Amino acid sequence: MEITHETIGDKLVVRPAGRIDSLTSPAFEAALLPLVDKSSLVVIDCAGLTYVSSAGLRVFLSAAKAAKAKGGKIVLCSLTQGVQEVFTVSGFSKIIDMHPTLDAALA
Amino acid sequence: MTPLFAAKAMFSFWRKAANVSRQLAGGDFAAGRGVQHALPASNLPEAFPIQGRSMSITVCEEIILLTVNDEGKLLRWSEELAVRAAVAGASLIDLAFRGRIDNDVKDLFIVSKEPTGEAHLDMALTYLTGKGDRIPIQTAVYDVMEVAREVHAAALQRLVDKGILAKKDESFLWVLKSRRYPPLSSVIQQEAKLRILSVLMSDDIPSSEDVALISLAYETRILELFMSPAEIERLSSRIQEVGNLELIAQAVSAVISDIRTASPILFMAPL
Repeated sequence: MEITHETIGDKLVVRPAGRIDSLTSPAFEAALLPLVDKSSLVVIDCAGLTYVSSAGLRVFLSAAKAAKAKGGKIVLCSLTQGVQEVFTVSGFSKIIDMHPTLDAALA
Repeated sequence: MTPLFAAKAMFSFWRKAANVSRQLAGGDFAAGRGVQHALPASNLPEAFPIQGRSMSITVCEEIILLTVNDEGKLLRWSEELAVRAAVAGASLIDLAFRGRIDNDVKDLFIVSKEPTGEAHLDMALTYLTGKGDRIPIQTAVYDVMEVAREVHAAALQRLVDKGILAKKDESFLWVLKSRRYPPLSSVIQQEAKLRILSVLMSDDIPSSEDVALISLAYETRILELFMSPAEIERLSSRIQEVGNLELIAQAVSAVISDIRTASPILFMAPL
């Protein structure tokens, strides 16, 4: 799994790619949480994500909790069909905003 | 999961429960042990980090604590398929927190067979690893439910060892024997209840541990032990929103539903 990020305006866009599972979630969490601390709105562009397991979902939950605790939020965009299904079935789509495209997330 | 499979699974539980009951009859109590002195609270292990979090008590131990009343009485096991399901689900979630298993919406995967050092969790892990490296989640819940009684006993012993509960064996008229686990301190039990209520009465994003506790306590009706039906009804939307966040708890819910369908009379409410 790889993670890149860039700042667009006052928003931070994070781009994880590959799988987020029990093997890669510790690295994802270690990379994501400091970024969440830096910006009040973090957009996670999931276009490159191919798989998210429960371990990965817990990192998203942790990041959303950390963001909200400091008055910010994380939003997701561009989820592939398989990843979208995981977020929908698990109910995460009810607590984390999701957008079909990066533009929509940044708007 | 078909009703036939669920009925078969239940038969397996009863058979195993009968065996364990026989073992217990010749176990601690028969050996004439009375009150087992718990370690002082100062012997509680230091909180240790797990995947970036800090935890000194497992979800499994916490959910069991919620089923112990002030006098130390446990839910009546013979009626409690719910507790069995809760223990199985909590053990699986604890193993996931410790990186031993992972799951997606359908399957559960064994990631590592390395023992966790928690006797009750290692019991569940050992049993699970014998079933294969990839198992449908609901099947995994059924599998761990088969050893839930032993896992439950080991977790209770851990709570005694940590000084959270005492273990007290009593006789009545030298014939009837009972065992109680009176809390030495209600702090941890109360803290768990307060955390649950705090999450349910706010729109805060819960931690993974709180999600696990709430989802399992709701699905197995343990919430009813300390929340009124009216409270649960009033908060049902929030309970379901939070509870749905844990896929293993969703599987526990499906298993419970299967068992209820197969034998609604036997699946009684706690207490």
